[in-house]
Amino acid sequence: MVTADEISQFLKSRVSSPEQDARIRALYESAHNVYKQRGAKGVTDEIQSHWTKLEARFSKAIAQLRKDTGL
Amino acid sequence: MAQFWIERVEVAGFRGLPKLLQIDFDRAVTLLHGDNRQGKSSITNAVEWCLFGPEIAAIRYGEIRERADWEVRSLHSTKCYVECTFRSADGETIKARRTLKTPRTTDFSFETQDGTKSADDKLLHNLLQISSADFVSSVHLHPEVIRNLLVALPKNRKEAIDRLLGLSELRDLEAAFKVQKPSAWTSKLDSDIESLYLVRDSRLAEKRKTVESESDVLLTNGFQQPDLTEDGAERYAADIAARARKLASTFQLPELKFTEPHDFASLQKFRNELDGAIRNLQAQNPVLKNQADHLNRKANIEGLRSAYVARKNAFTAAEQELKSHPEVRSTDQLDAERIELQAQSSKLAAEMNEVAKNATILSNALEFFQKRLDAELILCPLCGQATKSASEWRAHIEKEIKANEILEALQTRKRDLDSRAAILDAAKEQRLALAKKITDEKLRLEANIDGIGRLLERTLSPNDDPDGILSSEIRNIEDDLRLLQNQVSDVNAGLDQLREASQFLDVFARLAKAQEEIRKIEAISSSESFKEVMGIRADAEQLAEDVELLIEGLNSATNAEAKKRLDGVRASISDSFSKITARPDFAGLQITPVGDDYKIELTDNAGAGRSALPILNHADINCAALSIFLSLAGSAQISHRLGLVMLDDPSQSLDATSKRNLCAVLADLCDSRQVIVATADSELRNEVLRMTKKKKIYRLSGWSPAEGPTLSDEPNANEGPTTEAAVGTDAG
Repeated sequence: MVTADEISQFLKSRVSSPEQDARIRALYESAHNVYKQRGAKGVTDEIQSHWTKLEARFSKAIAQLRKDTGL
Repeated sequence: MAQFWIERVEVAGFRGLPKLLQIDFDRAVTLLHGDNRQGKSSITNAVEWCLFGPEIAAIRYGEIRERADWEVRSLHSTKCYVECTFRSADGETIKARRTLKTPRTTDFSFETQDGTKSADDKLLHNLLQISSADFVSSVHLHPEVIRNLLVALPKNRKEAIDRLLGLSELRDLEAAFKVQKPSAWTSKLDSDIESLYLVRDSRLAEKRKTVESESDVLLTNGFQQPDLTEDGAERYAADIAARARKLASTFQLPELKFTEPHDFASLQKFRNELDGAIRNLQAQNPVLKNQADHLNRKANIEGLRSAYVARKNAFTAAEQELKSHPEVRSTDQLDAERIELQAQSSKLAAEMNEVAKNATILSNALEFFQKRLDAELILCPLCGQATKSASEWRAHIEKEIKANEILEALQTRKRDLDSRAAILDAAKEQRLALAKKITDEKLRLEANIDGIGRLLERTLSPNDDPDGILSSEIRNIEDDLRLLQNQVSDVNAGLDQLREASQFLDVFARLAKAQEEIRKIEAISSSESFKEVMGIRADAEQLAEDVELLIEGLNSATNAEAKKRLDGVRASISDSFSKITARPDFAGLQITPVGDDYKIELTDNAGAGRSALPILNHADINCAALSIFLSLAGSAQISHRLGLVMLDDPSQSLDATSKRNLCAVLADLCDSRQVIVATADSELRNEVLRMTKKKKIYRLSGWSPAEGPTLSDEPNANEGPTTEAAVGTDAG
């Protein structure tokens, strides 16, 4: 199986910072583990869940901003 | 990790296999041979249905969905199940069973040798590290897979070859991330932020317009641009306060007290205090108070005068009404005459009673005689006239007596008397009412005159003319008011100037409010809640960017791995192609990853490559596909743990030489993979029989809808004795 290091090598010229490189490595390793346990659908569900939480935080924050500013 | 091969399949009621059928497979080669429609494909399909169930029917392999409308259960069976036993080189076994529950659902279970049991087929897929897409592209070589390998759309060809290369996990991961369409994530957030910006910009524009219009008002009224500030507003307020105090001093009123504004916020408070001060200056000014007193007195006198004139007119009218009444006799005279008339009427009534009484007696007597003398000739006792009947005699007598005439005359006289008495009575009532009205009006007039006296603080004698007195008083007040007018005008002018000046404070207040709101709106972008929103948006963008980059990385890794793995089997593919086709003009076949496709080229004897598809005929395309599939499926790169290949009708369009050569390649392949071949081709069957590998050869024949095929071992195929396989057992 391709390792996170190898993925990182492919993206060497594309990542903007060591932090982004670390995040992508972690994302890959996490997805790889989920894939082993729950298959491709598990990976899709996991990333969807992550995004849904982010979206919920955003909705709450923008509702607060509207309330604070009357916009 | 050791790979698994199929040891046994038990199937009942599945597609073309209505009865229970048990097939034992050889570790090396198993051939299912029979004419078309004998159930060969049903056996190979039973394996994939057992592993993947309805998922395999739903799989979209490129543009092909051959299994989409599968009739899973045999129409001649009430039950439908498939049980597969897999064995690994280590001796480990897995037994999986799938039973059709409804046309769209199944019950599944599997059990491993170590006692692991589960009803979750995903666990088995994980254990075998295989997906349905892997199965149909790298295990079960079906005619449509062959097409996909070479002639399908580039993306489908790429997927098929990637999976053959053991890159399923990388492809699955890439696809799993792509499902989310991360590039669209931030678009939704940006849309919300954009709509927020739109509202903000719209508010800003509205407030700026207010600032501009209010500034214009001030500038056109003598204010200068530098005055349109907080300081300017404060200076202006201080000026107005000074003018108000001066006015109070002029009016000799107590000094006014204001909370003079120190910023825009306190401007409104000052404005309210100023309004109160102006109202007080107006209310307490002696000139205005004097004027108001005069106006009040004038209004009162005018009111009384109007009332007096009205009362006087009403009284005169009442008197006139009595005087002009047609009855000139006094009420006493009217009473005396009425009494006399009533006495005469009573007397007539007595007379009428007497006449009526006599008439009744006479009538009764006549009745009596009528009864006695009916039908006799009767003579009138008064005139001797003969009558013919009793009724005629009675009518004659009544006429002679004339009682009715007397009564009628009396009644007429009585009615006349009564009528005259009633007229007199009515006339008396009218006169009495008019007299009362005169009395009432007089009382009201006297009350009015008393009121006038009280207002004028003098007693009015009957000879006084209240109207004249009041008119004179009104003229006096009007003279006084004319004398006050100049002073009043001066005072009002002062107050009006103050009011007018204060209007600009409102303009300053609106200007200030709009400027304040602009500052607040402009400060939104530095607020905590705005920073929170933008922080989350940045997180979302970062996540989307990371996922996009990872997808790119997975794609690059897939291509790099594909290249690396193809390098490992390049020679094998070329050799297999060369062996199966034995073409003299092209020595080999090369596959090279190019972007999102694979370039498939024929190489001539000099090593030059040419695109394969325009050159190859139908048989060669099949040979090329078989070469690629068999080389890759047999390589060590395969990532899943099913160490078998199932070839369904692989010899399509191949000539006898190619079939022999194919079997030579299969003979090499079965050293590392279990090979299962289903074919109706006798030439291929014979070539398989010639293979020196250990094998099982089954013949399927005599298929009927209700019984399915008869499965028999081919003679000389195995080292063991020829036996009839378990057939004919009812699936139920």
